[in-house]
Amino acid sequence: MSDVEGDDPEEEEYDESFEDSYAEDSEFEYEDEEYLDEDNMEKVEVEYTYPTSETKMGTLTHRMKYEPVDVEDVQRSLEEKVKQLDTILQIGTDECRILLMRYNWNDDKLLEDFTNESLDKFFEGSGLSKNSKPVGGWDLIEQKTDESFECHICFSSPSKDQPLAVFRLGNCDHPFCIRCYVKYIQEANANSRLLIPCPEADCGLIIRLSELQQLSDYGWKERERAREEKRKETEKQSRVPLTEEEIRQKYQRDQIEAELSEFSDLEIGEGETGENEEEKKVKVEPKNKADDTDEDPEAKLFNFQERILVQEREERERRRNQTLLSKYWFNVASKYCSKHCKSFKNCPFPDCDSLIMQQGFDSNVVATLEEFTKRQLIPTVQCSHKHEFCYSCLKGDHSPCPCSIAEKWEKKCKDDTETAHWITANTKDCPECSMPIEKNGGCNHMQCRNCNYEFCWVCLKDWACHNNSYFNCTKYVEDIGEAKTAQEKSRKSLERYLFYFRLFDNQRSSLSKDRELLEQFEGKIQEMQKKSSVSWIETLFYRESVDVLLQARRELMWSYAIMYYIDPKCPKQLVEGVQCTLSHQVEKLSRLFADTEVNAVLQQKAKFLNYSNTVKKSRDLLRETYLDCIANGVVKLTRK
Amino acid sequence: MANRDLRTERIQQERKQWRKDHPFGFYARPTKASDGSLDLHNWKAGIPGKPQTKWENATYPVTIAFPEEYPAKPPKIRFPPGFYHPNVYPSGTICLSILNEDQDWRPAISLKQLMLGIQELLDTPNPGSPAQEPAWRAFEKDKVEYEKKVRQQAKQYADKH
Repeated sequence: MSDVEGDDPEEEEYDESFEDSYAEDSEFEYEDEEYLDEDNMEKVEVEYTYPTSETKMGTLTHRMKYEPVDVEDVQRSLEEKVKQLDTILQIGTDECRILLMRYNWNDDKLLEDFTNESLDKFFEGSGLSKNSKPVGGWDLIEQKTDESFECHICFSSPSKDQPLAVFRLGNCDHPFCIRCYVKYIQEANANSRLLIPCPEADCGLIIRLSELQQLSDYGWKERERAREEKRKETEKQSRVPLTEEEIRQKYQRDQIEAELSEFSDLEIGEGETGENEEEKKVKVEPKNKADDTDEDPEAKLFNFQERILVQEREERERRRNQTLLSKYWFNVASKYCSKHCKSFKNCPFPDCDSLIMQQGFDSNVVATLEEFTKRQLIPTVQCSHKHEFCYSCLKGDHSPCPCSIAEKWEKKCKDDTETAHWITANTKDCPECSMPIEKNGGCNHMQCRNCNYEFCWVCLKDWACHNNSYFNCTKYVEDIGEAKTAQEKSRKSLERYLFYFRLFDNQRSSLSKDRELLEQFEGKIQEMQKKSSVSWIETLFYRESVDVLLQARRELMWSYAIMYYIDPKCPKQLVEGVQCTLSHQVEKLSRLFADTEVNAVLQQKAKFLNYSNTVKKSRDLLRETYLDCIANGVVKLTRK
Repeated sequence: MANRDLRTERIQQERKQWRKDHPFGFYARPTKASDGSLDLHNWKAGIPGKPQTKWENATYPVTIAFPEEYPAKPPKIRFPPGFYHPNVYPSGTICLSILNEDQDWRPAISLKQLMLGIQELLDTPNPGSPAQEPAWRAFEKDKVEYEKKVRQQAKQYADKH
């Protein structure tokens, strides 16, 4: 719950900066704003893919620097860029924003063109007006009563008793009725267009953000007003029967409201009214904390933290789609991220909308991600929702296994596992040429199709010594090992693979079983919290231990995958040693989870902390050892 | 009826405007649906070649389809498939900036303006954005061949006198 509450102050801050940035800022305000943002910057810490810049053995880790961000953070940093440009050009933030978008936020190229081209040409080519009027308190919305006016989109005109609300841009004289304007911008938003020109045929002016804001605000206010009226109406309606006149009025109002609903970019439209949203927000709390017994049992199993995340995400999505402006801003930021895809990546976890911003490397040799992964290093990052994934291949975290090996392993598992299982279960190799043979019926007298060798299926010896006793091999075989050496050779690699695959698979299934168990446990802990006065923070150690356990299991799992690829000539004792230790400790912790009753969790706190600490240490050791061994060439990953 | 249908409304207005005043030699009207009713969202139109050009004395037929989002999105205007012109795709789709949502399409562009724009395009193709191989190659490399093919096509769509 505190997660949700923790978000609120940030939201407020965000809104403030949002508004401020569109208001005309005097020099003083601007200073203030920057100061505030500096504070913000301090809060966001740069994270590293590896805790230290070198291992204890002195191997450089060249760690990657990154920052978990969300779209709103990107919006803020873009707005910073706009302001910075404006301090240089002094032509207004609205104009700077359009220029930056035209130049894909490449301000160097922009400044070059700005100084080289003639100003008039530069402005015209960018869809800006030479003598731009800033959009201040001046209203771009007007109630037209002039009957000769005609909207060039829908051809409607105001009549005597019904004025027509029109909107125009500050720098041209092309008014259109608001309804058409909104439709036009909605469509542009839906197609993620950022530079939206005036709807008039020969007008090249681009809609500025503050203009868009007026349109957006107007729509929003009108919608709220219509809702309020409707609410009052329904209140009244429940008490008194309506007169004919009232019904007529109500019908008209409904129609107006239906039209106004178009102002929002929300697809859900009417169902999602303002009051409902408010209620929903408030409801979030009791739902998680207390006394609704009629809750879906499945939802109960569902991880508590994840549920909060999903709710938060839905809330964010709603906010992003709320108005024309917010949707537009969302498009600006997400387009920026996709254009700069080298430094921004989306979290690949389902239902997660956070981003990772790459910020270079802590190294003087490695400068790109390719160079980083070439050194068999793994860029494991953690998004703001604690999802761990590989920044390079965008799969779930696979450290200590390098990307290339992890990919090979997964492919092999996919291709070979089923086949290998079937082959070991259903075939024998020909004692002469080692071709796998399936016996699908008939007698024990086999003849290999490959080498024509005749042998007995039961004892795998030459058929010649069987004296035509077709179905029974009565001869006791003394030295079967000798006969099978060729077969063994060919099966050896398969067995090796299966050996590591079983270890891998075993960890994988343990991982999912542990997760299941812990989710159930989580539910029980919540119940306990309701009954007793245990606070959320007091059970935090439990959740952290869970994370440690799951993470360790995952790492152990991938370390088995590496083992398969290690050259047989390399000394494996070191890595096997740490693997063994970690595996032992993981089992210990896992057992503690299984053995501890819910009520006893708090008493066992010290044990949990202790165990998970050891696991954490061994895990770090495992990671370091692998890194050292691979980097120094102690183990070579050369096997196919 | 929750939302007024802006598309239909606008098309009706366009129709009214067109009837009131349209350039000489052009025609544009909604098609008939299979049940005999008027299909406002799909039109047929004809564009005459400009006099004193190799396109003259013929009226070239096009189909106009108004998408759901019209007028926020442009209508789709096509010549018959295989139409010979450097800026017409083999499917008949016309490559013209005012017909492209991401380029110069604006909701305030009227049908009349579109029709005149296409007429203009006929004799002044834009070799910078070729849409079909044969006509473009001929236009660039072999003017004689190009003119011959255009005249041939003009005969095919010639006005009956």
